[in-house]
Amino acid sequence: MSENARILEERADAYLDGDLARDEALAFERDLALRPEVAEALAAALALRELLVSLPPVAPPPGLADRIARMLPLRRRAPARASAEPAPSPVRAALAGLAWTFRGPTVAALGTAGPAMTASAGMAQVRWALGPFGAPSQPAPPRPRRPLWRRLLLRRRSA
Amino acid sequence: MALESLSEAELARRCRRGDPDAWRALVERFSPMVYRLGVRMLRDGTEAEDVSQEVFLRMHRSFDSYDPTRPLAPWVARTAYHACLRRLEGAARRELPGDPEGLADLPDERGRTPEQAAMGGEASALLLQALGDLPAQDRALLDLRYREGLSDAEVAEATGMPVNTVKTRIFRARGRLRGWLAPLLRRSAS
Repeated sequence: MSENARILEERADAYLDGDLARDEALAFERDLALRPEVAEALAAALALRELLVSLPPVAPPPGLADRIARMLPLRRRAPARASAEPAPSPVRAALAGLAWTFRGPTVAALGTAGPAMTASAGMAQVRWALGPFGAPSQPAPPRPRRPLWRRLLLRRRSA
Repeated sequence: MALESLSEAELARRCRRGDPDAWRALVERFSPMVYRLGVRMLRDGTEAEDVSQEVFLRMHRSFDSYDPTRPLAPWVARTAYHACLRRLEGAARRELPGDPEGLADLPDERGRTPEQAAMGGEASALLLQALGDLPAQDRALLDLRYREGLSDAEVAEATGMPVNTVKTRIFRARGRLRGWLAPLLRRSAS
């Protein structure tokens, strides 16, 4: 390709891409009317773009999106713990009240325990006294086992 | 609001929260682009399908690295482009060239193979053949720029190349195509 032809193509592409400054674009448009080779370069540049844009698109195989989505580790989020927690049963509430009845005097006596009581013993007593009001202990949810593909990927990455 | 009509920003926000429906919508929306890019770069339908799965797995794993103020398509294209490059490098190391005739067997959206399409559109068939002779990266640049409609800046973002490099490479690739397809282009232009 001659240098002139290369420059012409470059200008035509830059013109089509909107990369020419206003003055350059106006000069190119003037040349278009006067020089057939400029018009030819622009027409060829346009024709190639048209071809590139109109190339029939390759269709993804049927069900590809479904297969990808199935492979992703997508999980519905567990509902909030507060709402999942069952409401305290009346029996449990009654037992908690009964426990408080017995432990109440202990709490009252905390202030009169005297200087002989150590701090840790005092805290233990408070924890025991407030026991019925403590949140029922929740066993930690079992940690989901990683799917095989993920373990294999991790193993490969760490190898 | 239907997930299909969600804006990219909203879709990304929901994906970040781990919403499975949003992820499915993301896959529906972008898997054709990823597959097409895979086919253009790797020239093999099976490889393109594998790379599509890999791309979405990677995205799922690293979605936190996505900047939601940026458009989603270049980020997806970037993940796909680099996944394809890795496969090409791996194939080169294993000395397993891609199937140069792979595209010939792939149907288009109307279910026609390129040969069938060529009977009604010689130009498309010739262009496909010429594209096949370009380096994979140049095929990807042309594909992202013209088929997927990304801007030069977005193509640069997707490929990690400077914008000027993208422009230069696209210009050179177009120049080569023009050289190969000159008679056809003259006919089309006239």
